[in-house]
Amino acid sequence: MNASAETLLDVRDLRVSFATPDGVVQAVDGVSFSVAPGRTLGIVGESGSGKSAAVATVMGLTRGARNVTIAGEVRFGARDLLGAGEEELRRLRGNEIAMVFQDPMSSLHPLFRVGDQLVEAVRAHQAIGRRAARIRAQDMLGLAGVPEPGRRMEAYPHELSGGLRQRVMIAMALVNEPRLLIADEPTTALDVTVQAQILELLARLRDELGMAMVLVTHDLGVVAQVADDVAVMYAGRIVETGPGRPLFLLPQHPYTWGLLRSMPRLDGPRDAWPVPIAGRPPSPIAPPSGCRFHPRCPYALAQCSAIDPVLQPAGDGTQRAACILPAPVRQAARP
Amino acid sequence: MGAYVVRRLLWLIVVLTAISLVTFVIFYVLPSSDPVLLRAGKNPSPEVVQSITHTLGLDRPWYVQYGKYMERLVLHLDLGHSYQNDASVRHLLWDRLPATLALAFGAMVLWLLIGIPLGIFSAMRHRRAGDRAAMGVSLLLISAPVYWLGLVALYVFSKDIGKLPWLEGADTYPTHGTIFTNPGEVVPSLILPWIVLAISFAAIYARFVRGSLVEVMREDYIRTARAKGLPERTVVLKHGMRAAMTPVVTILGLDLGILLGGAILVETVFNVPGIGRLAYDSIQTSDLPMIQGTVLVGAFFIVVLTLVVDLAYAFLDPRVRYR
Amino acid sequence: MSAGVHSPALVEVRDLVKDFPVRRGVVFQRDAGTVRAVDGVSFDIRAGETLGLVGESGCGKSTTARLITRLLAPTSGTVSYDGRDISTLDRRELLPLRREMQLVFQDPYASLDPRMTIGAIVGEPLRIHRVGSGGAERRARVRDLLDRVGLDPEHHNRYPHEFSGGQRQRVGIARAIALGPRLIVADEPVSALDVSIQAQILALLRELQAELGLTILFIAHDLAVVRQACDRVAVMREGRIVELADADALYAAPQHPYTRALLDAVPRVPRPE
Repeated sequence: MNASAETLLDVRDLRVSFATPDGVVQAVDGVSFSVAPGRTLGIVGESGSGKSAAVATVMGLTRGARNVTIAGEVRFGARDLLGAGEEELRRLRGNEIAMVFQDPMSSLHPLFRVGDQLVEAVRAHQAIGRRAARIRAQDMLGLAGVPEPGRRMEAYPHELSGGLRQRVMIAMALVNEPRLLIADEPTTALDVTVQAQILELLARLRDELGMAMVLVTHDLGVVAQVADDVAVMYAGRIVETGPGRPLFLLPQHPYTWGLLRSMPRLDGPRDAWPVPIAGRPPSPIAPPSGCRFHPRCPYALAQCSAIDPVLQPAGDGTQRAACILPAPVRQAARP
Repeated sequence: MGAYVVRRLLWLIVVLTAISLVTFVIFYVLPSSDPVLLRAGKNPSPEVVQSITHTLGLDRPWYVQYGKYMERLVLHLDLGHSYQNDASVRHLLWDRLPATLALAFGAMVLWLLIGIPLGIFSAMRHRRAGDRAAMGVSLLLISAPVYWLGLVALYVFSKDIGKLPWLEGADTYPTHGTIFTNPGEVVPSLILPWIVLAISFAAIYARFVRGSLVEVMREDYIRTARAKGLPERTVVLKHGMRAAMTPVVTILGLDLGILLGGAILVETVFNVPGIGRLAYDSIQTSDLPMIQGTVLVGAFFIVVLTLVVDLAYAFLDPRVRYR
Repeated sequence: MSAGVHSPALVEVRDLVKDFPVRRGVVFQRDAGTVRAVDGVSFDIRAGETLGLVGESGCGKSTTARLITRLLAPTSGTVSYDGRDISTLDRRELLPLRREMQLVFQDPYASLDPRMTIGAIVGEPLRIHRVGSGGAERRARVRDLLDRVGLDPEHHNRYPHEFSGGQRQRVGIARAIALGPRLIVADEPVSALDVSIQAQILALLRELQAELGLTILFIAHDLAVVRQACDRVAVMREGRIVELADADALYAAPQHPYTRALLDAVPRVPRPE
């Protein structure tokens, strides 16, 4: 993807590590991506890929963690987020950059009414009275597709269904009309039909509010539906990036092939079972030498254990992949 | 919810009945004692002995006697007569109640004011120097027996024998008046007992609040609060404490219930004329009606406060609803 | 893939109903109403087949699984296993049947006792049902089982928290096959796992089914996940089965609008053709 003239979010060589008694966990190991206004970036990865740590760090939410080391550069517009003071970050959070999390049941405070939580989000950043804030909150709930928003404001989170709760979370995140929304696995805990509705909602609100969005997920299908650009993460690194369609039609990295092959499909012959990727994700404390994926890669060459690949242009030129396999080999090997 | 309360109140009656029965049987069945002497206390005169035997119908079987006791209790609220003190049990209990109430509630306010901030402080400096110091000190204070603390406190601070004679010592509770009618004399006499009682509880509550808050701060909704851009103070004190306090309220009610039955050790060390002191004295003199009275009062408070705590819990946590 | 199409039914469920009471009352509690979790469900599970039971949360599929394995007793209707009506059997009578029916659960983080080593977890059913002639034989069998599901037998005295989600699920499967059951009821066995690990577990279940002649009831909330694994699929909604068909037929030409809605909801990935 291009870092076009005007990028809203620019992350360069982000590294996040945690010192634990067992050793240093390198959760994010040199990740770079950018998002232009109005565009949606999908970050795909499985558990341990570092995707959640990366976006949490963008919001400054990992700063308080114990024994954490953060390096690299994160720019939001002209602002340097990593170097910013806590107060400056606080003013941005929930205001210009908002975040939606995975499990709405545990992400909403169980002891406060939904309306009060929304109003709190409004008044944290807007100097308006309580009544005006309530109206704004209620409007946002309606916009998020919550039926009878006035009544729902009085509800507690446990009184709502999973889909409604996520709509509340989304309303809460968008109530101050942020320029960037980060959604970390927003539909993973939801039923399939509800998932579809929420994705549709996110896409619609993004367009209506002209927001940029970063969608973090392990589900390639979700990314295919909503994202303009995609970054695939593995073991703390980005192994492939590119615009959505080319990435799915002409994937460039063996891990991406593995992911696509292991996905259950509704198209294609019914007896074509999903093909697992052999082995397990590497330990974040002692990653493999060279290319992190090479122990599980069916196409690994001898050099793959020695050379640490960087993202190189690949495919149709808009794509990049961190793989030393020569292009013709990749062409032939691709599913 | 109303149905729930009624059900619990009915259980209260059942529990109290059971306790009174158990107490009665224990003392009745005590092998080494003459039932008459048990009621009469130590060294009774022959007239007293005869009077008791007659009044209580001790030639009747024990369940008849129990029946008579319960009859008196339920119909006339008559808890019996303490021959040792030559007064009705009920009158004595009523007399002593204000001192215990003052002691318990005063200490409670004090231990909450000390313990909760200390717990929050510790939680926010989780595992760092401040936390370790605070929890170390609190561990010491919890381990110290409260009567020892009381004696040390008297030794140091008591006006008559202390090294730093700043506070009223033991035996200074006025003979007349309660904290409501005679605060000028009651309050100074209770300062040391309050502090001593509060110290051990404050330590417990500090640890408890710390543990509860540390767990709550790990929850996803705290992350959401930060992501909303709320100031850290609000995140901890509003979002964090609101969730952390619910279990604290539970044990607070139970502790209060126990204390209302009489903080025996503190009342004895400082000679505060409360129900605890009364219980201690009556055990010393084997004054059965009195013992039964204090046991029933203690049980009553515990059961009532357990109910209050459960109702408070439902009020504090909307996910809990009783049917 | 096994062809259970013309096999006899191993499990027969007829008009199964399960109500959960809502209680009211002051001293003597009486039922003020019920929640009907399963509302008249009938189907067979044929020997050797994999039957998929798919539906969204709250549709009653997990309750049905528990009724079939008699972790719950039905309010009305019958459950038959191997021709025998087991709907009203008591715990003692059910005990020998437990060897033949086993459950695999959804959450590999919650379904393993964190205080037991995985060796103890897998060996527990052997101990309870007194399989094997002693500790040594049981331990050998446990190591065997761990190996069979793709775990290192040397890790038998490690604790669940030392393993990943996929590995824990393998432990759950090892525990389930320890007694040599005929029926495995897998309640969303891969929902909590990463996609590439899901594929591993699905492959493992497929291998074990072929090797051990298992009949599997596969419960899921996602029609895509069960597409390859199942011979027939039942779609459940609000306590009822709305469609039950051979997998080929169901995926090619779904009859019921709800089935179609479920299929449409699965996000599509563009594929090179």
